[in-house]
Amino acid sequence: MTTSQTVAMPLPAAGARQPRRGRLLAAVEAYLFVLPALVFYALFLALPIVGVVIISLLDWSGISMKDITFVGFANYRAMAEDPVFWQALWHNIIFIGFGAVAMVILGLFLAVLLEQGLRGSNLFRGIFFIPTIMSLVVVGIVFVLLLSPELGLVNPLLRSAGLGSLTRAWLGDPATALPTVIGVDVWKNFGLAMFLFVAGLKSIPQEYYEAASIDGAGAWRRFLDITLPALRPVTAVVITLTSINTLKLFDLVYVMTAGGPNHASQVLTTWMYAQGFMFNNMGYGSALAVVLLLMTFVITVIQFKLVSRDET
Amino acid sequence: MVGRLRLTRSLSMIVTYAIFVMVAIIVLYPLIWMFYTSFKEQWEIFRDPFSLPTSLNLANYVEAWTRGSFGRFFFNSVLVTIPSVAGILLVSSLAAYAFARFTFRGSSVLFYAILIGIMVPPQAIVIPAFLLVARLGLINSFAALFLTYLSWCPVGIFILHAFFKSLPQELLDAARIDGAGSFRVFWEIALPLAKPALATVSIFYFVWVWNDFIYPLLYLQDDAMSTIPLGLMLFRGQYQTNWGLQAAALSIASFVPLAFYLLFQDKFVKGVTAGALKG
Repeated sequence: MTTSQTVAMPLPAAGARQPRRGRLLAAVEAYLFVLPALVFYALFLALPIVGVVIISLLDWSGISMKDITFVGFANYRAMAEDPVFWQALWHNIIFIGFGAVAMVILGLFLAVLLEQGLRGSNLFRGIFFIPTIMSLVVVGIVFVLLLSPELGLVNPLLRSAGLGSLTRAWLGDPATALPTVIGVDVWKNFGLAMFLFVAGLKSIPQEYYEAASIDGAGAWRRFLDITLPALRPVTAVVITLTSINTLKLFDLVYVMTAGGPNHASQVLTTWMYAQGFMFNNMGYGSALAVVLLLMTFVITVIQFKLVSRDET
Repeated sequence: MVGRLRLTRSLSMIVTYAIFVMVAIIVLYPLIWMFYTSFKEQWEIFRDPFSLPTSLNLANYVEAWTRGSFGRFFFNSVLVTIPSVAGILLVSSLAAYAFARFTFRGSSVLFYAILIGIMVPPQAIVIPAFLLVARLGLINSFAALFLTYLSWCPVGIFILHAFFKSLPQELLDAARIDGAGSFRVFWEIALPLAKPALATVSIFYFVWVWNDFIYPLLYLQDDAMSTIPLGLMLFRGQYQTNWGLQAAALSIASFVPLAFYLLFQDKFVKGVTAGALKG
């Protein structure tokens, strides 16, 4: 995303002054190198992107080509009147507002602590990253077991702490299902944000801090005046990344609650899956997917604008 | 004065370590619990789900691997992941090399068109992808997954492009003078030099393909073809109350990524963050 400037300048090729036939041959060669990637990309990624937009204008069960009806924007109008859509959208926003933001704050906080260079920091950093490489299905199932109302870990722990009134069926209770899934997602993914911040912190020249120390700036001042401004571009990237990651989250919700109970943890991806593959509403499911695509696109553009404003 | 400074410094050190240990426990406990539960028998779990196992009983593993078909799921995952990652490495390094090293008509347009793919969440296009695969008659085939994963090569192209761009031209020219064709220069000079970048790319894709859930969920409807994440879901349905057995299956599922992580920690972090940054 940040290398657009370097990309635009084609290298002067070694044989820029080749005879005509040689140049033609070179071009053919170049296309042959690109072709395999291009074929796969065009067929299974680019075509589906076009496809999802087209299908969103159809009423189609997806079972046979015969039952396709073109309905224009009817799916989008239906969406505006679908309370579950609004619920799912709202949950996605909560997911970003709490989950993604928690990952950013926790990631930044731990990165700053780790970069103090205390003994053992590398070990802890390595531990904090472990959930990031695990499968969301494994994480989902482990937490379903840990949170299970009777045998799980959380309720007995609360009871033994004298907080028995707080015990509940964490994933079965509409009030706690969504926050619980968000919490597990933060557990799984804060390490990624942390590592990006660690890389950002490493790139701040040490002299800045030394100069500030000589000027008598305390640790907190140095953090506010040097660290935070220097981390602005990284922060923009991390916020975008965590927001998009929570927006497209499917596995964890599917495994832990399947969007329930009674849509209490429904998000756009799970509602799209349910519409498309359980209710055979390929058109409506695709319309939901288009909303997801547009939201991703908007977030990316905002980030792009923020970062490029920084650079000018 | 100096004494007080030292005191605040050691105090802040203690607080930092306390935070580190607390986060480490929160991160590790669920995983450790999963691992030791896999050795417990049913009655042990019902008596106290959080006590340590009384013996290192491997019965759950044996049963998960054989009767629970986990051996098969494991093999399926290997069969999907290795060709997919190898294929992605090949097509993305070829394309990245051409974009970085050749001038040809339309190269920057094509390059940008491919980079757009980086922004697209795979989840957003599952419906058309599924309908396409069904139309091609590829439901219940690993080929469907292979083709889909290869189409997600833009991240690899992006990372490798940056690397090939940084190679000094003289290095490649020297081989050219020796009469080697473009492909040989790529295969024998550029690609071996790209090993670190290739490692980063393969780790990113390995983690993603190995753990991917939504595409196998849609494409592989025959239970016997399940990959590990799908198998875990089947397992959960089948052995709902048998936590020991489920824990064994979960431990098997985590083994490969964790072992790789412990072996190549630095490369792993680089791979996952580099890929994520471009995603």
